[in-house]
Amino acid sequence: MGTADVVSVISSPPLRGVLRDLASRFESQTGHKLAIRTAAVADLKCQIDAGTAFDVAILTPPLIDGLIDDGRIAAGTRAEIARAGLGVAVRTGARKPDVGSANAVRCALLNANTVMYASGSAVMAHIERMFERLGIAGDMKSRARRVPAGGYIGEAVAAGAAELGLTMIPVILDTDGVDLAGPLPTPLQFYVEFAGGVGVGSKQPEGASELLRYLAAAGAASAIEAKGLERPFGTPNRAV
Amino acid sequence: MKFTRRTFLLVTSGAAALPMLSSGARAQAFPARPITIVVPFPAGGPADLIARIVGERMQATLGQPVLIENVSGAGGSIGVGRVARAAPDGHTLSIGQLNSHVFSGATYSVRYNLLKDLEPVILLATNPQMLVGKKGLPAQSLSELITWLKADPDRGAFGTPGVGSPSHVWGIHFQNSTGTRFPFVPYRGAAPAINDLLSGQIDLACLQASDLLQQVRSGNIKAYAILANAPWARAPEIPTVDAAGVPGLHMPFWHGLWAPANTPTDIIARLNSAVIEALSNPSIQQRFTDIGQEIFPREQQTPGALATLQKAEIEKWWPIIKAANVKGQ
Repeated sequence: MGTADVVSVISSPPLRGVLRDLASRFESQTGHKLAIRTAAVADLKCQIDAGTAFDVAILTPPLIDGLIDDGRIAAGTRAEIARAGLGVAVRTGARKPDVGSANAVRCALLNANTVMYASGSAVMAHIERMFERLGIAGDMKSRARRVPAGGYIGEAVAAGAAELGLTMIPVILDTDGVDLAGPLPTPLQFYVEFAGGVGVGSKQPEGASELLRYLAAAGAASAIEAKGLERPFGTPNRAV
Repeated sequence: MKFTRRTFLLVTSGAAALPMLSSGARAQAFPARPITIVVPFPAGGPADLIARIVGERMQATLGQPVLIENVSGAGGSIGVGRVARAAPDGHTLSIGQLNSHVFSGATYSVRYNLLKDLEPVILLATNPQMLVGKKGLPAQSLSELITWLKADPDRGAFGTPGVGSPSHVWGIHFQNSTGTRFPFVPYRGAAPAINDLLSGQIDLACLQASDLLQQVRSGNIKAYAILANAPWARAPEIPTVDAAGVPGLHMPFWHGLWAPANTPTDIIARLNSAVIEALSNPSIQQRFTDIGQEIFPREQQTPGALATLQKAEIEKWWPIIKAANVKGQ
């Protein structure tokens, strides 16, 4: 992917705002040029499985570890970057419900006509356990809208396909047309982690490693926080 | 987790500052930060390849990183909607084609208006579609095919890359124009349709010619017509649909680039000239040839030419789509 003197980066959508913010600075500080692509994880996985080359991949840790096992990512290059919590999205201009406590979230969900979240993911499993814990699993059956391609819940809410969206906070902050009503409160929160690695056979291994160090370093922390991601990485999710 | 007031002020002040500059200063200041090209389809397809090739070169000429975002789903309408709602400052662009930027407005329930919410930047490249049949079909020409189809309306299974795709809509147009009936078989993308055509599971398909040429040349499928008004340079032996006896059933599969509506004209001009610079580069021209795409002639590399073509395509195809009540899936 890309020409020889460019570091090609493929990443899950939640990191797109961070990459956009840091790309110019990284390029001018290091002299390496970046070609960045973000796409839904399933799409990226298809591309990787089809043999598409990359210098840096930023995905969830299980996927990175799987690619290390498959010999697609160099083992010593795994870098932990950041994690993203879940938030509640509403269309820009719509009233933002209070989601500051478990009870407030319960009310907000019951007051919404439709609530959208990604299907087939750990996030979905968490959200549906949360409905049960809040005692509203039955009520949510008619309200829940599960959609594939988890990076684009924000787009769907912006387009009016659902009243509330439950998705990763950086996705909400980086989508025009939606606002963050708030993060899920601590007792209901769930984090998705992101790690990176350098592709085996990368023609730009130095630039690739340098980008991963750059993203993992303390200097990137303010850009990461500004886009709704956070550190430390790796604090276990609590059971809801 | 902290969402400081400052964070939001920084974001909003960046966007708001731009319109206050004079147009000359604004064009000089542009691009102020990385540019994002939203591809409304999964990675690896023609629109995506074109975005990557052009984006790499624009990165060099504009001096800012160009990011590719694949925002796929719903016939491209999710990705188009993302750009239609973006700030009109030239930093978020929409690449697309007949499906995403013409059909989606009729096949999906969308909140954007393709003509009012997007500002054309440039016509990029095109690639004709080709009507092909499985190896064993008895018809040797398009007119024989029509006769064969008319003899039995249950045969002639026509594979498409999806309900509401250009291929499907062309098939409906073909039926209307020739008085034929045949069943449509939707697939998820072109590749599985080609596989089933090769194995004889379906009889017909109409897809981008560059995806089919190799199988036609090896004799594994039959080419009936190029859906264009002029022969295709890469395979001039394949008749145009006009020469094959059904005039006018053209469907060029063209690609263009748009910005959000109300993007200042000087920024549109700067983007347009950056893309023209890329398209006139010989190594980029070679990469387009390699993927079967023909770059539009220089005089058509204008926002106006894209606007005219997009409007004409909407006026041509929407009535056909609406009359057949085609809804995307």
